[in-house]
Amino acid sequence: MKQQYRVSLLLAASALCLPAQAAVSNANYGPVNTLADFNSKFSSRVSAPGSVRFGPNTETGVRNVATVVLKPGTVAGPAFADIAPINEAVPANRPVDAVPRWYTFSFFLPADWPVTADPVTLAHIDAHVPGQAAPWALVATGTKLELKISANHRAAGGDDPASADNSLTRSYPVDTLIKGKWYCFAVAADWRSELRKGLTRIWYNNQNEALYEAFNTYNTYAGARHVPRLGLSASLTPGAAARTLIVDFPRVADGDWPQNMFNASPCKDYPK
Amino acid sequence: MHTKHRFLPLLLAVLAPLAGAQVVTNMGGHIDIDADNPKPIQYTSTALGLLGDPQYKRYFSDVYAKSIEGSSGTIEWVSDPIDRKSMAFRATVVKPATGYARAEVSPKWEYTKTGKRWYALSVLFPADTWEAPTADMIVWQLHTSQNALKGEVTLSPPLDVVAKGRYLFLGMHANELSNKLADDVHATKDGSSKQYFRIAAIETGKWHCFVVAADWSYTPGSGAMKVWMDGKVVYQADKAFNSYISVPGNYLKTGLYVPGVSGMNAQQSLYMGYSYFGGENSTYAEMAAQTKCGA
Repeated sequence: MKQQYRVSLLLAASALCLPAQAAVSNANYGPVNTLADFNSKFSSRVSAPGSVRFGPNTETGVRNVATVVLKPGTVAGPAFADIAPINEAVPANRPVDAVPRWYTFSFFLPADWPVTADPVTLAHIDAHVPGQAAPWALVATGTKLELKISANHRAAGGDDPASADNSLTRSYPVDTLIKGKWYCFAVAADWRSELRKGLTRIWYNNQNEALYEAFNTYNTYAGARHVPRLGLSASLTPGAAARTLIVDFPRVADGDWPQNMFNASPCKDYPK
Repeated sequence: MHTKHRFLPLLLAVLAPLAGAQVVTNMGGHIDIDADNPKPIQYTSTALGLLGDPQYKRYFSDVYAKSIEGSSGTIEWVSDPIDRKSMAFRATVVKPATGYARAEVSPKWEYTKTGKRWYALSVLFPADTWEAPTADMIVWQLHTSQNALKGEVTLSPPLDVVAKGRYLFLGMHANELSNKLADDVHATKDGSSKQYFRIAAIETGKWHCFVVAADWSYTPGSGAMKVWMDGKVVYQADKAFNSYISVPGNYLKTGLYVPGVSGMNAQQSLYMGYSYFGGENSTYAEMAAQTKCGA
């Protein structure tokens, strides 16, 4: 009940466009000015050396960004190049009075982005549960940008354990991707693997109206620890095209507001 | 022998949906006469088989039922505003002082509790009169059967499409618990799983066409859903339960339902095409061909 009350307050306040006054903790909103600053706040995960670069990009202007490059290996398999906030791993099924965790993801497709039929993940929230898909992911297939959700209400062990084969999947088309444009997402989640629990709210490109909201809906796996990763990952064959994505920095907060999250993003001036 | 042959086509028409027919012919679909049938069709295989007979002239009351709240709503059978040679329904709701407003049509006889069922339908927001409402206006829904007189819980529809402001939202609700108030642990509207996804901006003056492939389930870990709007997939889910424990199950309604009228406009109308059903082996192309947008 306490959690429902808190969520209701959040919804009511959002509807009334109340000024930003919620307690913000562990937010890394500030600019990332130097490589040392970047390295102190974010870790990189790469399948090929030298796949993450920090600094301004000529296509996106003077703002510091991370440029990630996805390169196929010599054999078919997973390839990845992404960044994640250091020390960020929110567990599933926290106490009922825990506030939702907030995330922002912003990415930019450069002019040389190859449009191919193979799906490529641009951002995801990794559950760190072996064998399970990310509970939340943004995937590009051709010019289609899709939101993918995966979850399981089962326990990790027992007679009927959770597995990749018995996990639910949901997919929603978000937009048609255009090169040379920033795409920004703000996400609030109370991560739950239990029936009739869980909260997921998603806002897109600075718009007031939410893109997706789910209440009392399980959205992850038992034992999950959630790490937001911004950048590229895919299963590639050796001949696949290499691709580059420009990303802002994944930002996290407790109990925030979508406008606060977008104000720190490259989409802050997009129309409501 | 003569009698058997005469009724064989009717019998096949009735059995066809059970065998997974492509497009169901004896539930939903067109009407020929906007009136109550003076000799109402009963829910028997022989009588229902009449609706699958192309020679039979279908009365409104043979195929559909109206759901109207007081004097707030009307349903008319009118010319299609785009293709004047064909017909459509027009639902109109007038803002009441309090309560809710409703003007919907629902195909008769068709309820699915669990398992596969296809649906096809069309809605049009009139270019000359549609004003973006601040109220939620449900324009079609796959609701679930519920009877307060039998002690059943009032629940939100498993699937609906809501017009609000400039956008259309797909709503999804589900609960695996009992729908009986008398049971110690039972489903509640507030406690059920709820999802809302913004699927499109509303375009007036054109038909929006929907096809739904549902595999209904109230069992967590099973069930599937795929929804197309205007030829594009707007939602897909697998191994995701999507309904309630309700009998006889889920049924289709099109039209306008405004559950909270304070933000609705003084009067609002919506056009709707006929509603169609498919069986287990139906395909998207077959169902899409039944809509106002065509295949």
